Amino acid sequence: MSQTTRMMLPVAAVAALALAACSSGSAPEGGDGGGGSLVFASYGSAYQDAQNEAFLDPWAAESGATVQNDGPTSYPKIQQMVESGNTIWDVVDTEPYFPVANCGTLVEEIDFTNIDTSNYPEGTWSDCSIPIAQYSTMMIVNSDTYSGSAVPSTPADFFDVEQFPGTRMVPGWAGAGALEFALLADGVAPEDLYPLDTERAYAKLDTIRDDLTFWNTSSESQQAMEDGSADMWLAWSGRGYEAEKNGASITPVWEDNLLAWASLSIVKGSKNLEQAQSFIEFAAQAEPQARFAELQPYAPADLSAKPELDELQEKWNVAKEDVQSQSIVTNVQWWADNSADAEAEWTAWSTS
Amino acid sequence: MRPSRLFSSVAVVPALVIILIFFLLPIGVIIARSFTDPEPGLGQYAAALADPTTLRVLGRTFVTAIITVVVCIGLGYPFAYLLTLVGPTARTLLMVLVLVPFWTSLMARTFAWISLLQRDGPVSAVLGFFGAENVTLRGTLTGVVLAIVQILLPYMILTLYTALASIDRRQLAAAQSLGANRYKAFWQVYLPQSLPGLFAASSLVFILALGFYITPQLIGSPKEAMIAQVIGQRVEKIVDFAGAGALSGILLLATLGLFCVVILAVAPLRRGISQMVNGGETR
Repeated sequence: MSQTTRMMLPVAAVAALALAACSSGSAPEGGDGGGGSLVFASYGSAYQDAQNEAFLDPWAAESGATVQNDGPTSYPKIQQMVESGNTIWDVVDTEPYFPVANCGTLVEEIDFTNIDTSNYPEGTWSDCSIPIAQYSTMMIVNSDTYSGSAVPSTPADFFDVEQFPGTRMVPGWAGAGALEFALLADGVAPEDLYPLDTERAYAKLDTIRDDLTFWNTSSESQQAMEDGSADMWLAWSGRGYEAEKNGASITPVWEDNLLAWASLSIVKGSKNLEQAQSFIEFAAQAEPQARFAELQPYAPADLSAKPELDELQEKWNVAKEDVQSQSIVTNVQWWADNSADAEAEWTAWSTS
Repeated sequence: MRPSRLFSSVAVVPALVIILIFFLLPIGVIIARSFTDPEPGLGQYAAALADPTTLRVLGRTFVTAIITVVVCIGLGYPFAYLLTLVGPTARTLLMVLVLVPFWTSLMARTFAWISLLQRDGPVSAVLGFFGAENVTLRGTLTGVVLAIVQILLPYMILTLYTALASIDRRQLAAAQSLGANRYKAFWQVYLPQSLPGLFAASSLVFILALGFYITPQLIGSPKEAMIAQVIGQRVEKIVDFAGAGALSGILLLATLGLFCVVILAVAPLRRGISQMVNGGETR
């Protein structure tokens, strides 16, 4: 016998798939109606559509520039653009720590001459970034699981598996708030939170390790709220709003909510630096931020903005005074300095 | 060189160029970076291999792949064997059962498994009916292996079938006419001849399983994380191309090493079988 085994069919199928995957990314075209052009990168879906409606379209109408959208935001992509000297994106929406960690190296410094930061929560802007909207990483409770008098209502309850048995779902990476939340629940005062005592945080998380599941994309967390496939969440306020709008039976817990914000910055080596700066100045204002808050479940970063919200939006609005008084602002400088080590530590802990 | 030979040598060039540009070059760049960034040397590899997390996840990746292969053999061998026995109509029908899932997107199948395996999902309900209360397979090794097996089983069956179909079944009748019972004929005549095909199918499934990313990411918890997930995390969250490159290099090297072992193991096996079949040593 000894005939070579034929396995051409699956191999051919794999090759066809690989070829199909080799489509190239979009490249912006030059040339426009005199106002220059701008490439904006963000996280896609309804979120980016709303950003276009609230920020980019009105700015383009005002400045005469053409706008192109791209995405999703990817840090390795930004690094590759800057390293290769071919920056395709001009303005990019990132996690807040990223422009702080890479100020001047991967993102440009912003000229704050025409930007009013006085109405932003303290710590939400940096030399290289402005906030355009706020949300919270917060505790959310399944109201089908817990009803009557025994409803978890504090961060400490989140870790109390005796009194409140059930599955807890938290973000699956270090920088998304689980460490801070564990420390706050363990009794650390907000002002003593940083530098993070990660050892203590993991010890606290270990107490509920068997009841923990993780989400890696916020849509996963929303899906779990709508399915009721967990009993408590540490998740984003915006996703809580979307989930409840879709019929999820959940309750927000505002105590020790971790304030986060959508952050815009200019990619280093932007070919449209002037337009990028002009757009950043526009997006930093209260009016477009209010418009954005009406379109998406986020609150304006500029607290003087007055969006018109419906009842459910108001329920999940993190810009409210009584919510802001319980908010804790993430120390982005600490994360900028420590995120690599923290993520490695998280991987070691979570995969064991 | 005969013209037909020359033609086939030229015909291979476009495919080679594509592989070179879209596969070998990028891999080369990534691997090169693991040796040069932040400073030239083996620092990234030393760091990766000194990290207990890397070793633990790498070990788990291999264990998961091995379990997958074993389960795939258990399910795939009888199925492929059956395919060689039945008539053309039944074979077409059975083939459709293999090919339809094979042609369905991996993402679609993974999401289907999520809804099947989640808490209070259909699988949990069925298990509950048989007395196992509140079993959630999502976030467990069983769930991850189940999904990977379902995705890779067609590779096992299709590869194995082509090998089994080439075995002359008249040898079984001959063995039986010489006094072997059916089981003995299978074990001593049929099975040995199918081993090279089984090795080929197993190594294909094993190597594909090693690189799984989406399925364990969505179905498993970090406790079931495989090496591709750790590599992805490195690039996306820390933007550490050099460290991720070193991990990829280790995975590539381990895979190639294993591949060599398989090839070396198959060669003497083949010789042994041809000896046996050609009237060498038999009992």
